[in-house]
Amino acid sequence: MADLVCVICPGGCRLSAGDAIGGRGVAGARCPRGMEFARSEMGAPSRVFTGTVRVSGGALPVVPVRTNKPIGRGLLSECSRVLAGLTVSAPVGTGQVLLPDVLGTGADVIATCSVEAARRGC
Amino acid sequence: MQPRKPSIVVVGGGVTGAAIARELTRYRVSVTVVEREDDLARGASGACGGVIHSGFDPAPGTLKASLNVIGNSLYPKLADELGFAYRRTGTLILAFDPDGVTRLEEIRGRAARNGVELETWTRDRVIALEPNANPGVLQAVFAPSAGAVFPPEVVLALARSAALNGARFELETEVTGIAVNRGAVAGVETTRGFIPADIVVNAAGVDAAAVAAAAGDHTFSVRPRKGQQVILDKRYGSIVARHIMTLPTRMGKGIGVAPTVGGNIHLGSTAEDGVEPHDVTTTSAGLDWIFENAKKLVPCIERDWMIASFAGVRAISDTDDFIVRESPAVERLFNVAGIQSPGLSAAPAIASHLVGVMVKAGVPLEPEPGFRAFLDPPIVTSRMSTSEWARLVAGDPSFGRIVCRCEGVTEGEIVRAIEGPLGARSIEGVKRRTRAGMGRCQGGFCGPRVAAILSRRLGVPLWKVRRRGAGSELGVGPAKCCLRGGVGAR
Amino acid sequence: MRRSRADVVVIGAGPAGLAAASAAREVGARRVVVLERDERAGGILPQCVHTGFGLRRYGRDLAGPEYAGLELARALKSGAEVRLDCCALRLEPGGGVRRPNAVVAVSPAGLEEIRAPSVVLAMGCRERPAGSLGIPGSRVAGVMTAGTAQRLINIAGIMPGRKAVVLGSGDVGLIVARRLALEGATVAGVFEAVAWAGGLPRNVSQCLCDFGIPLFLGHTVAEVHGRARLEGVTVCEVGRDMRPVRSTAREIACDTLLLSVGLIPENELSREAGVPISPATGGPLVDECGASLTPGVYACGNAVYVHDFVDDVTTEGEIAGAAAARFALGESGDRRRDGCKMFFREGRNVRFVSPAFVRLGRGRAWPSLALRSRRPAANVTPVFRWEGGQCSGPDLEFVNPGETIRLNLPVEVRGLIESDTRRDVTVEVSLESQ
Repeated sequence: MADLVCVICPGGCRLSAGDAIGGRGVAGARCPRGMEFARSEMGAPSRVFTGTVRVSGGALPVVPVRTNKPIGRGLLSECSRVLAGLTVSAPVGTGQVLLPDVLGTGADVIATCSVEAARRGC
Repeated sequence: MQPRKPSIVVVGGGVTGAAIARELTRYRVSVTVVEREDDLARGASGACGGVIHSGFDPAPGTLKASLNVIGNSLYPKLADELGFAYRRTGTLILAFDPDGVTRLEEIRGRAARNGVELETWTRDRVIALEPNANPGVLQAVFAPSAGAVFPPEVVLALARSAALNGARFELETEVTGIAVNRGAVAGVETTRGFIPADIVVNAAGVDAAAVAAAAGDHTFSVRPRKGQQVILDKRYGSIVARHIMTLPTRMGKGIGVAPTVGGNIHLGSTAEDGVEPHDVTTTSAGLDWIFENAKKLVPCIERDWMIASFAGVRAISDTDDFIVRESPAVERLFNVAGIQSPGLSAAPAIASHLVGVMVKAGVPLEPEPGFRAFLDPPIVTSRMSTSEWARLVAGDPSFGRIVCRCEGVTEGEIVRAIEGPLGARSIEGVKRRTRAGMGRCQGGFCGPRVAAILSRRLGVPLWKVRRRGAGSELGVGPAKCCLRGGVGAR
Repeated sequence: MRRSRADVVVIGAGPAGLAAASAAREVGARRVVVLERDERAGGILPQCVHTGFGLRRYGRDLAGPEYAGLELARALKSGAEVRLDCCALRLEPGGGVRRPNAVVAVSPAGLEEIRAPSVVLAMGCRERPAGSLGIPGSRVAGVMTAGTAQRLINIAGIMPGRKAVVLGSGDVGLIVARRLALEGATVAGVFEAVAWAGGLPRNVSQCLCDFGIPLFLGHTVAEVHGRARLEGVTVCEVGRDMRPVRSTAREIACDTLLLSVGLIPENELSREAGVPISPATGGPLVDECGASLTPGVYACGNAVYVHDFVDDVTTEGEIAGAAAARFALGESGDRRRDGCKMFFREGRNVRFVSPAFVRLGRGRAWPSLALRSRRPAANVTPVFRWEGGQCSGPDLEFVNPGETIRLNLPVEVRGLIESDTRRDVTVEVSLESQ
């Protein structure tokens, strides 16, 4: 048995997962995604990575980013370290892929906001 | 040929040092103020309630009593010349028992000897005019001449006026020694080099005895007395209209509930002996004491109303009176020490009194005909009429961009505070000059925006912008610095 | 000063204000102006780079900036004017369609007064700052609210510190703890004075547990140390009197203390305008459409009460914006405004109920109530009491002060609303443990 809090949506269902095989014995989920979450959590937990990437020549020094699908939970910190080495040039558009297939996960790192090129002066 | 102007170094950039520097620029002298911190009014002057006391309290016959009363009378004109906010609030002292009523009688006697006008108020009058005062009051006395200022604003205005008249200000400059030659001062040793001087004025506050000792003068001592204080949200700024206080005690003026010129309420202060000279920490016991006692005066006060708490350390001399005299040990060293409360109230009078002391000691002080008493009025959009403000924005749009929501401070005001003479170098410096960040959110929203303006104007990376002095940088490095190793690799 | 007229003025271009403006335009308001004092729209969302937004409304797991972008695009497409860098200075209530409200605002373009029959208050909320806590010790750099740190990291692009302690377990604190950990800083722990976390359980799980950040319940920061910058804090257990127990004190070296000790609806403008404010929420007393007790003045979003999900803020913003537009267009008669009301009052274990009241009228969809408990409890029955009657709602397995509870009004309470009552009714809502 394991007690989990579903992190799929802000609803935060408290799940009890029994036998992990096939996600049977999952209690407390108010939607099918919760069942799926519990199954994945018992096997290979995954999360969407969110953070920032440095921008050169932009109106802002960083651009917010996320992966376009969940990656292994254990890879979150490694993903952040990889992105620390990345600098992109302004302008950046929302949804723009800044790093494809991060850490071989198949997930792309995309911008979640646009950053215009810096105006001259201030 | 004109004789060389005497050079005077003033040690300490509190209200005493700033008032003295300005007063001295009325004469043909060269004045340099040295201050250890990165801004003026960083000691006791900047950490007090801003009440301009009437002068009923100090013992008759002391320097404190006479300079307090004179200083109080100088404030309205000074506020007019320098453009700082000043409001006459009056002080109301409440007595809750027959013993207290007897002590009010003593206060009336003392006030009469100090030349301070006092009114006696009945309980009904107190309740009618201050409906939030504790209804248990039996009788009160009212000193109409008391007022309120924002202390850093006063100190900065005095300093700007002094600078306008030629005084130099050396900030982040700590005195490490006083050079004495044949029994007279020759200059001050500082962390930024030697500054020759014909005259040294020691206005070093809680460190005044140490500065005198550096010159070989051990004729007085100064001990620190800590005062913790609290500021309440503006929403409750009208719970009292006057500065209300308990009967003074031997340790100090008793606790007060004071309306500030910024529209807040100030509570304080404690009076704690036996502390370290620079101990400005607050304690839970101190804050408990403040609220417990403030509620005795104004019972509706709630702890939830607090938006800030802080402490200042006042300098108490061994005579308990102000010391304003030439050193008996070293010629041309003038000690201005033990300037505890009511030092802010007395400062303008201390400065003119010191000039008298200097003249008596034979210092040649020729009037400077070019002295300009008036400063250009500050631009404070929150104090302007709509049409005045509209005209200002039409000329410079940055005065239409509000940066601090709580206090209504615009970008234009912040830029002026940074770029003007004795400009702000830190977020705290901007706050003291413009009130940005002094409101209920305490800079939560505007702090990063103020920092960005400082970063642009001072040409330093954002993370290096200081909150206050050295070592108080906003961050530890640019984005990703903790992942990439090293700082500032930008 | 420039003067103009509009149907609806919205104060604040966060998710609530943008939704209100879009909805107002969509139901037919002609000129809708949104005043935003920041230099960008979206309220707090642009700095919320984490995901979890939009699942209910868009069925997508979006980051804050993405959600803000969608809502801004929708408002602009609807034809609302969104004015940035424009700070509303005051609201002067007028009293109705014929005597419109006036809003005075300032921007780099100058001062202006906009008269409008309807005004929507959507100023959001702010964090409780360090100064209000009065933590003993020095006043040093490195002590800030979690939201300020979030802005510094995610927008200003600087690192506030290398080793942090978080006081308070509100959602912002939990989310920023994770951000700091991902950016390579150490988070020594989250310290919460009460026996339960202030934030959502999912945030405790994915922000703290995922990163091995310990949560210390029943603990507080008793003192801060340092000269110029924070050098450490003293943490203590909290006694029954909610004060630190000194014998349990221990020191933690850190250069940053983040505070996540509560969010407060931002209502200075409302207060100064005389809009009645609920002591329970800190926001205007509003009905199920967001109408306050001041004619023509509506409120929505976190300015009313602090919401868990932005999706709900958007939905309520739309309701308020549409109602404000109908009022401006004269479609909602004065009858309703003057009619009788049912007020909801906080009872046992209820910190607040929203809306504060519903208007008794015909043909309206009965609202659900949003409420928060004061304490966690299991197997709870919502009980509704009024003069001469009571009823209960379906049991709740557990309640948690960190999560908003949504209750549908039981049929008995609806009946009370529909009955031929000629006076105001007050219903007390309690959460009772069996």
